[in-house]
Amino acid sequence: MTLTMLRSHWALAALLSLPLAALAREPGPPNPLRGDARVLPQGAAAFEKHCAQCHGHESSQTPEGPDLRRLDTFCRKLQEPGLQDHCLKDVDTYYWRSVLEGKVRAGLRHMPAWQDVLPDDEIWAIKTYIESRRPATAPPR
Amino acid sequence: MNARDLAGWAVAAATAWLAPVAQAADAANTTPQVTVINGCHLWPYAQCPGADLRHANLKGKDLRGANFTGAQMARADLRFANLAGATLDGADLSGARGYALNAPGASFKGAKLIGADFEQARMFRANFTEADLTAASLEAAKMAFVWFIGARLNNANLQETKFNAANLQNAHLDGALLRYTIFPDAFMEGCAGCPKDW
Repeated sequence: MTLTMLRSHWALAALLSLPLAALAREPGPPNPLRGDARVLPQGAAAFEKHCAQCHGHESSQTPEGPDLRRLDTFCRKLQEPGLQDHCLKDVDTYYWRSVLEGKVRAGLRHMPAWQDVLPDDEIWAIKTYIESRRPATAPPR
Repeated sequence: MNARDLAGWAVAAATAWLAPVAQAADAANTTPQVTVINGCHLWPYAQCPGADLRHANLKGKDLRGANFTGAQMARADLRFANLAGATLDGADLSGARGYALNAPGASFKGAKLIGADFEQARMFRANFTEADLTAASLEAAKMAFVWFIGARLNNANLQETKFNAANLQNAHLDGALLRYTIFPDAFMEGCAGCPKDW
């Protein structure tokens, strides 16, 4: 066996010994696609298909569900980058759990659970799209 | 007062109404103060499960959507705070003060609220399933569509509490003060101490 063959065998063995989780991107918060303009078309299409009916189209003034552009209103006011990142991560965690588990309040389901329905990348693309639609001033409550 | 003073006074009076508008705009754009207690950053959607917030001053804080699962919040001051949609499952809120607390859709499943004061609170569609509200005060609180399944409300002050369409299945109300309490469309199967004439 040549030295080159030994090296390639060693590299293959090392690669196979890696846990699968280490190869896959961590799917949870914070939003790994934040600010990535390339996912905006995907996020816009997914929002329109799955969310807009309740959370409102661009033109809707009276959506049935909350206006998701308001989720990070508080965080956007923070000047210190580290503090803002922490704040946004908390909002992302709330968003992530809400999307995966849906919303049930006192026995009434207000929002379906999207776990195993929407892929992780699509969930974050929607969030990125929502963040791209921030109005210059906070939207009305 | 000469004419110039009079004119100045008139201009000041005419533009005085602008000051509150300008202040409100400034308030909307200024960096907010962030309160941090024992590592928990207290802002909307805060993620603080298990946090130690005993005796914390949370008066008037906007904590909508926050996660305080299993948090220690005994004797915390939550007066006029906003906990809309927050999760406080298994939290200890014994002796907490929550006058006029706003907590629609909040979840208090299995929480300990012994002696807590939620007078005048608004808690539509909140969930107190299996929570312990022994000797708590819900005086004049609005509890429409709230779930109290298996909850303990023994010796609680429920004067003028509005239980419209509330679910009190298997709840315990023995010893509770029920003066002017209303239960329209409430579900009370298996409830101990609930009135029988609603």
